[in-house]
Amino acid sequence: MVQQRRLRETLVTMATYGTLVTASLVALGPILWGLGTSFKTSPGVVAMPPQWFPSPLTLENYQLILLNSSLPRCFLNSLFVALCGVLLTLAVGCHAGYAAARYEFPGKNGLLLLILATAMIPGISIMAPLYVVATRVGLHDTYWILILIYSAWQVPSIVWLIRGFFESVPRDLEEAAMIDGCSRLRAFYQIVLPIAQPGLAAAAILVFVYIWNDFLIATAFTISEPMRMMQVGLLISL
Amino acid sequence: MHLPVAEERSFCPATHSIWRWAKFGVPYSFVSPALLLVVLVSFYPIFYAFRLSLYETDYMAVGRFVGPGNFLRAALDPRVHNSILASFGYVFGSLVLVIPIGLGLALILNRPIRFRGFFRTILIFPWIVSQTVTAMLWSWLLNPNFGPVNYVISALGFSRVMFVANPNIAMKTLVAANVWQSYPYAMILFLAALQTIPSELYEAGKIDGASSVKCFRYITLPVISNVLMVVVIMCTLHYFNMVTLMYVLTGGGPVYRTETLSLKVFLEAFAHWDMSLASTLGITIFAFNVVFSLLYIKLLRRESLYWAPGGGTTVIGTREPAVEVS
Repeated sequence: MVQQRRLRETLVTMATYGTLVTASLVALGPILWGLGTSFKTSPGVVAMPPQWFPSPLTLENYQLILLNSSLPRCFLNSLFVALCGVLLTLAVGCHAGYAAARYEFPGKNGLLLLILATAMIPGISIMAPLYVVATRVGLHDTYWILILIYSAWQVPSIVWLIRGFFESVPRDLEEAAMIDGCSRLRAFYQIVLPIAQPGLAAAAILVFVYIWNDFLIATAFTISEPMRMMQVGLLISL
Repeated sequence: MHLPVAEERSFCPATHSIWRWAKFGVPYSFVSPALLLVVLVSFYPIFYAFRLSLYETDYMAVGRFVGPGNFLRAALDPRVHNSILASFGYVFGSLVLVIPIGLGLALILNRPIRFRGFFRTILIFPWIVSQTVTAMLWSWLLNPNFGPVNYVISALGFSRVMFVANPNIAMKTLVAANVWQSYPYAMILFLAALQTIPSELYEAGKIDGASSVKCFRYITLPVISNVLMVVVIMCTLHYFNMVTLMYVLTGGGPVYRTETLSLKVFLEAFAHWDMSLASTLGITIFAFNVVFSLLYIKLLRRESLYWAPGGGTTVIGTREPAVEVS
């Protein structure tokens, strides 16, 4: 009886770790394969049978990309757009989030619902009309249109996220500051915002990764090579 | 939606002076940038899409008013039917794999095993890979000429598989790549939901002689059923709206087998420059999204799910375990 149970437990443990190791290999495999390929020479990449480990190991691909391709420019474009997008989204989002968390005003629920409801509009549904509008107003193929679209599409979820963080900051802190003669606005900028920093950092990471990983908007709203974003550059450089 | 006028009356029955409104100046000016942004970049374009869907267009020139003509054209187009079927196949195929894989791994990772943090980190990895890179990685792996997967297949004595070029396999390849990239999302949400289940419930179950299968059926499943529905809806929406993965991996081919509705919208707009058809199909996708989002909201309202302060649209768990252990 005891032996049987022990056998069963061993089997369960083996199955558990077997599943985990297999899943980890599947999860990491493609990434590691891509990493390995990056160190291979051109004949090494198409060698049959495939080289499981790159031999000879070379850094020439990295040299090529850094010195002789447009990818560094794409990298900087993406970095710039992503940082501007994060700044705009956070600036807009933390004000709206604070109003949502602390103020009562006529039409509050309606306005907030309006902002949140735009999260229901899928990007792909409005890309064609946005393209037409952007081209007409001359914003196509500029940093501005990318930053605007990314921010506008991230604002609803970020407002909600930041509102949650502000609500977790105790009101007493602001009240204490205001008793000491601090204005409501100053209490927001100098007390609430610094306390909510971890939340803002989380929001910033979400927005940054979203912009960094986006391919669709980048490919539809830019056309010239100097404006090209990272994900588009990756595909084109193949 | 609350009407501002009615609100104003309830706030200040006596005066309508401008000063009454001025005291709301700060919150209004705090909200207005966000409002302006979403109105300009999300609301206006969706109305413009409605408008475009009712007109003939030639590249960017808006032509004759055709009313529901574009919708009729789309409804009768066999390639649109094909796209809708492809979308449903893609969404359903991905869900059928992602939900069990996500739940299974979450169940394992919720147990007191060794190296739990390590495995959790490793298994989340594919999620941080972008769709573009996912498509590129998988097309290298599955390449018929020098990909390692086909090498193993032929080494085992089978004939090579054209993963992307074969019309009967391309969709399965696409689903596999999508599952690889997106299962961590389901896994994380399931894991978070599982962690809200107090261990006392399982102890009580064991004392009553319940097997682990029964514990899962009568304790785990009822608690996570809400999160399960939320994951199904969120994944459905995500898969239905995604474009990049199929655009890069298969481009909709071979013979339109992987041309989902969302990809068709993108191609109509930015390859064929047919803005009215793109808007028409875009509106169709929007309608589908609204239905599913309302379902999602209803679910959130009905049950004790809450929007946790850690993740925008992320539902972390149930506020109170909605279980009845009889």
